[in-house]
Amino acid sequence: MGTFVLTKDLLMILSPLILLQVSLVVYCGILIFKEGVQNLNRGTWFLICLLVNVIGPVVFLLVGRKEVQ
Amino acid sequence: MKFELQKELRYALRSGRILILFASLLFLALLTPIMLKVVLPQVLGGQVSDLMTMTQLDCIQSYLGDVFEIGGIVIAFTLCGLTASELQGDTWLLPVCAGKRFGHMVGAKLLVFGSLLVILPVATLLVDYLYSSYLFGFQVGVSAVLISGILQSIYLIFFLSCLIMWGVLTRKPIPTGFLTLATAYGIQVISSLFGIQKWTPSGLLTHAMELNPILDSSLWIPLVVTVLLIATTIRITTSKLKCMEWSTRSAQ
Repeated sequence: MGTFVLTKDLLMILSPLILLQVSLVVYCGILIFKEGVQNLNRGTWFLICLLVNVIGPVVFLLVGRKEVQ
Repeated sequence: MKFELQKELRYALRSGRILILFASLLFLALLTPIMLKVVLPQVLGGQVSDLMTMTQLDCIQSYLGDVFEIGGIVIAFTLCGLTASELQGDTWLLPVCAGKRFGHMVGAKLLVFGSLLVILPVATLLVDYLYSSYLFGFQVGVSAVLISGILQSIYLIFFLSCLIMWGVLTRKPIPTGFLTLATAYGIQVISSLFGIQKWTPSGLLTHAMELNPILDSSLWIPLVVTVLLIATTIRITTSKLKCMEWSTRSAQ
């Protein structure tokens, strides 16, 4: 297995994924601190959204978002 | 019917279901070219990766496979509460008392979420097409990609009709998700084992994977079978809804 070096080209290739993750974290962060959460506390949900790439925000939107009445 | 459509559209927007589906499919569309271009050569090492030359065609085929395998799980558990939660929470009681027809209620769900399952996979497939062409170069025509996207979307509408049917039959969201996945994967496995993909909805996925720019006559059989299966599941759903007892509340 080769060594993994983060070059400028690689960063360019990864930029759409990074952009997707950042926009989801920002959107979920606004929901967490504005609307409220369920099942876990706000801090834990924010950490899940921040650290688990894309799956974290998706799981939050599915089970962590305060139910809309 | 107009009010049912508005209600479903409002639910799709407010509950974030559209965002979940879009983000998941977009993630797969962006991840697949990166995996094949960057991660796979790093994992395999120099000599082995030289033997395997990946193309845009491989990339799009890999994405289509991912949508069926991983995207299917996301779609199943995102939309598993579509009918099951409504029945569990007795929220269909008022429309039923107001004289709304079951066909319209189920049809609105199928129309709104079916349209979503056409627009989102085609849009993300185009993203995958453009991103893979940036990394690998153009090798496939856009018409072939659009035809594949539409075939996959028709399969996903069948998937949605299964979700609606199992939701009404079980009245529980999580079992609905698992039963729908069992149905979709079961059909795929059985049709692969017995070589009858031409006669099942899986045939649409096989055609989609070929990325053929011309629609050939062999496509009609899986297309007709899929449409018939969608009609059958909707018929079962409305029949079951008509047989339900609406005057008693479900157990808390």
